Amino acid sequence: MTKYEAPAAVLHIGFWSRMRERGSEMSERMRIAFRRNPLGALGLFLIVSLMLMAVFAPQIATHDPYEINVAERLQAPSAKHLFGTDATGRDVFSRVVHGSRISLRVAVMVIAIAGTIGAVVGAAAGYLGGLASEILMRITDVVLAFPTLVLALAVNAALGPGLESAMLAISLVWWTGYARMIRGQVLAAKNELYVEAARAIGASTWRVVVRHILPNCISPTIVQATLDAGYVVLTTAGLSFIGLGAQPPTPEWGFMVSSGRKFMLDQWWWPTFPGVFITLTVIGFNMLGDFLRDLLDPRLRGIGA
Amino acid sequence: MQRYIFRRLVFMVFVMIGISLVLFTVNYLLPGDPAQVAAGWQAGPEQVEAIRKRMGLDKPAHIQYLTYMRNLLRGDLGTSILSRRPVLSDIKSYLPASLELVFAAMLLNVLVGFTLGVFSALRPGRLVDTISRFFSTLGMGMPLFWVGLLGQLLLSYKLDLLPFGGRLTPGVTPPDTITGFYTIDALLARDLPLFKDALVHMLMPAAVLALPEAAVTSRLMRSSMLDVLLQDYVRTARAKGLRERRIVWVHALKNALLVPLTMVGMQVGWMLSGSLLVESVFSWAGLGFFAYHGIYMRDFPVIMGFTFVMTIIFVFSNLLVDILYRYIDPRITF
Repeated sequence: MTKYEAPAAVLHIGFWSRMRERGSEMSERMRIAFRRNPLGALGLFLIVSLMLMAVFAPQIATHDPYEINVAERLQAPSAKHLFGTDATGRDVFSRVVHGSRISLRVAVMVIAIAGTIGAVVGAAAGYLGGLASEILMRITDVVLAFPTLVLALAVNAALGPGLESAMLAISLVWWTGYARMIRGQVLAAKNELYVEAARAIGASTWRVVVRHILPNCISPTIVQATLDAGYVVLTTAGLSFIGLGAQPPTPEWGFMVSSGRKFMLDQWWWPTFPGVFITLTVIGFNMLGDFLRDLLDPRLRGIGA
Repeated sequence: MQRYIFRRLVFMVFVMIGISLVLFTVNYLLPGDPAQVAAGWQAGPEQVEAIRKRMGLDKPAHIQYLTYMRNLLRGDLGTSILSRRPVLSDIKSYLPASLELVFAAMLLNVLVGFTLGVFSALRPGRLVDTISRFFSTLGMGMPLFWVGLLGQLLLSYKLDLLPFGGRLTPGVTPPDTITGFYTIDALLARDLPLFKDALVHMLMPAAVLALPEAAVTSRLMRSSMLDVLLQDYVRTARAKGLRERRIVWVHALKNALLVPLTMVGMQVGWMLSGSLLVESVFSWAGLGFFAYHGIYMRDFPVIMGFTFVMTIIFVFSNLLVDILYRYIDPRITF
């Protein structure tokens, strides 16, 4: 049974009282979701810490991440160099801290590009239906037929190595999930009363899709984007590890593991710490995504209220 | 059933055309002038023009695509810029090593993933379950190449338990090629020490490659088993007094397997992607290792050939799983 939701304009009068109600419902649902999924708190903590680290990187880092100091090369972790130094004497801790900016930027950019392509393709396929849908979904199938990293690798190689081309390459293989999901959502929403109402008062197709249907796809998209963010970071690290993706001297985590691998046996700290941060980031996004899924799950609405 | 397989195969033709179009586009966008590359850097403009004509690179894009298609159908994946050998013959010689690794990893994935999943579903919230869920969270988050490096540091360097990499101890002659899988070929040659050597070398790379997949499998298996154990037919089986062991491992397992099984096809794809990273860490002389060097040397025919072959394997393994799925679950109709 779907709840009838009046168009926003109709309920304009009680806006603030409704917002208050929404707020208390949200905190109630937050409480339930935390109880159901206590690891969500850990995920939230990890991702908030990561964001703070990215924002305050210059303040947190103890050294300049690019500063070469051959006199202090390959030093073990100490009070001066928390995570030791690499072969050119750069401070690994400072590089890892600055690396959080790169990983977050890549995750946000890729999901923005892939999400936009996916939303356009999915919304068009879902709303227009017929031949357009058939063509768009077959294109999606073809892209899905490739193993993700392998196609990203080919595109990245064609565009030339570099973080920007890696981002573009990953986006170009990543949009299919969003396209499928949004198409499904649009198909479901298409016959809802509020869409019919919007059409009845003469709204254009564009307006119906963008203002009425797409906002209803936001929760599943947020969940998917959060879960994906970790895997995007992982994929970028993988591309950087094999020599595409980030190039020297960028403090990208995957690239740091890759350049430190020859020194693994005697200078274990160099490749180890960046790997720890990749892992924490991926786990953080995974836990947060699971938590958001519980939080935004419509089946939770009204429980315990 | 035959009609279903036939329909899927017809659909495959379209997918293949799509794949070739995507790869052709990527190839077309490649930096540099392929005619110049083929002619060598000392070649003068007239020579380059002559080669461009001979390679058909002066023709419009759609004609070039048809040529590309014809070459693909003939099994011509181009010539490696570096080794000057046909890419296909290189791929043929490297492919068995990769397949052996992926098979071994798949075996580990299924064994570990299914077992962990079932045991944690039997005692949800207890120690086994907690450990298994911790393992699965970690396994999905750790980068493969990093786990491989840590494994080398701990298991090979510090503890001296497993070899660093390679498929055999240096100096050991590989078995005569029958299947191309060293373990199986060694067994066929009845050479036990050689078999042991190949197996020991395979252990760590296969385990690393299997790690993220086993994490996913155990999670899926757990939730699927929990669902099945609550169903009426399980209660009926209990009511008629069957032993719990039989209920779990025979009655429930059969149905619980269906969900994780759908993932196996996808997992082949992830493993093929992962093998690229794992093989480069462990110097495993397979396709991933071959492509890794191709990437470093900017040897584009090698990269494109690798992508093409990996995609074909992925597409077919998905098809196989879909067909298998219909055999196992007769309720499914497409």
